[in-house]
Amino acid sequence: MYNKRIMELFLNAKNAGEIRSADGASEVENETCGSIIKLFILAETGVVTEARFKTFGCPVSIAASVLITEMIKGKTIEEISIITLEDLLQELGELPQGKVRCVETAFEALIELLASYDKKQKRKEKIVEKS
Amino acid sequence: MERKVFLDSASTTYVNAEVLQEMLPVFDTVYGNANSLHNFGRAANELLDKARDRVAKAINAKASEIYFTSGGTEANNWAIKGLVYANNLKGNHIITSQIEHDSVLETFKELEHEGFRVTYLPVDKNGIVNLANLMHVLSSNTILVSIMTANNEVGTIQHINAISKTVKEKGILFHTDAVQAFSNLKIDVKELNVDAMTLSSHKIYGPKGIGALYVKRGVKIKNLLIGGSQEFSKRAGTVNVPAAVGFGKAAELAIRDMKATNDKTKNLRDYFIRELKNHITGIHINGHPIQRLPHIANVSFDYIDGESIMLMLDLDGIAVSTGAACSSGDTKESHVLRAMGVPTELIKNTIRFSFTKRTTKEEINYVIEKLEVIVKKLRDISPLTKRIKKER
Repeated sequence: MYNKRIMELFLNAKNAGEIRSADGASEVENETCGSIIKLFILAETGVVTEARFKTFGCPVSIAASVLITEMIKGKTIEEISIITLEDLLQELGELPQGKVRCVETAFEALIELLASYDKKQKRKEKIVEKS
Repeated sequence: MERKVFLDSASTTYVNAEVLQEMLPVFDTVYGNANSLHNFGRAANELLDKARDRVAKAINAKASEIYFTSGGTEANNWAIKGLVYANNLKGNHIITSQIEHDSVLETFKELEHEGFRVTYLPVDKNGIVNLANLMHVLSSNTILVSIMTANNEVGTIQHINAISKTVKEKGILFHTDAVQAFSNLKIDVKELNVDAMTLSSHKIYGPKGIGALYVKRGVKIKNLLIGGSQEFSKRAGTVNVPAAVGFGKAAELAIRDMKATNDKTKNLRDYFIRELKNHITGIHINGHPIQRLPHIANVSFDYIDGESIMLMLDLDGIAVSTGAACSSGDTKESHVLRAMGVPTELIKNTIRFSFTKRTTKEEINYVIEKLEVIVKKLRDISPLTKRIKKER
């Protein structure tokens, strides 16, 4: 039904979990099918040292979430910001009809994750400036 | 060897050995075209007559009222369009329910586009069509009511006798899709006073590619397929005689063994639900608690997606379906559960388990064991999972 790569990611479900005091966190809901993707990172020095996800959804939603956490681990925020939806789709390989939307949701969660990281950084900088 | 467990009998069944035995000679010995006048044709026609008799007997119809089709879908399409087109001078209002099989719903939608006024009756939380609602919408302009005998996703059985009585008292045509109910319920078309009824073979341990439409003698129906005099000139196309023979035998066996089969699958189904409740929390059984087909268990699991469950079960060799089997190829949500008011967050989380005559308790234990692991794994990664108190 799904290709080997998707099955691998889905079944291993590596990096599942939450990070309590994350440097960046996001939550996106796919309104078409109701799936929910949450992403978390630790990136104190601008390099992602830990990436986790929690996903409610179909195998593709779960596989795409795992893929993102795998792709961003060890990368700098700048490196992550150039990841595109096409990169994800290419990594996942062939998808059944209608499943691209699930990957788009995961990509939206990544974009929101970066925005959340930025916001937190700016807040931190403000605190530093004030002190 | 990899283990395989089939819990998807509501989508199709294996062919019973006795059925297959009767079919085999029809492929290479009695292979004539039943419409041919020579001895090969006559021999095939004799077998076809016998098959028709058997199907007719199973629902207390006359053989001349049974028309073989390519399956339930064709029979539903034909029944609805054929009855409506043959009677459209009497009115333009037609009625069905919101939980019908797609082959009924899509046909009604097409007729709606053609200008017919369609009422899609709602159902209650158990999937039952309310008789008062039906009475309320029947009018002098109504020409056809089509309501399924029992539902294929949740197994709910309608008050089909009362529905039929109400409709027939008004002199309106009544069709019922009995595909899922045939072989589980005693069906008597005379008692039911139904005008047309859809039957299918591959849900009752017969071959695929064959079904039948019962049409009461005297009821006008327009042909769907034309270009041949087969099936009393009502349905053109060479009849699939081996399949019809198989269907006839399967129908005969289904009626003969009905009680034993029902007892067996109901016991297994109830054992499955008990075990499920014992091992997994946060589950919901959909469908009528009592008025339900014996072989279906439709279950929603809190916090986890049905397709993910199905895929993991499949890797363990266990076959089930999410929502309706026919919809499993796409991600369309179940219109049946939606109509029953099952919350949106649960519709996606639903699996239909349906048991066969061959299912064993040992197989069910294996499924429960695997399911427990899968549900835990998926709940561990779901952001919706809250602490579920053990209900035990």
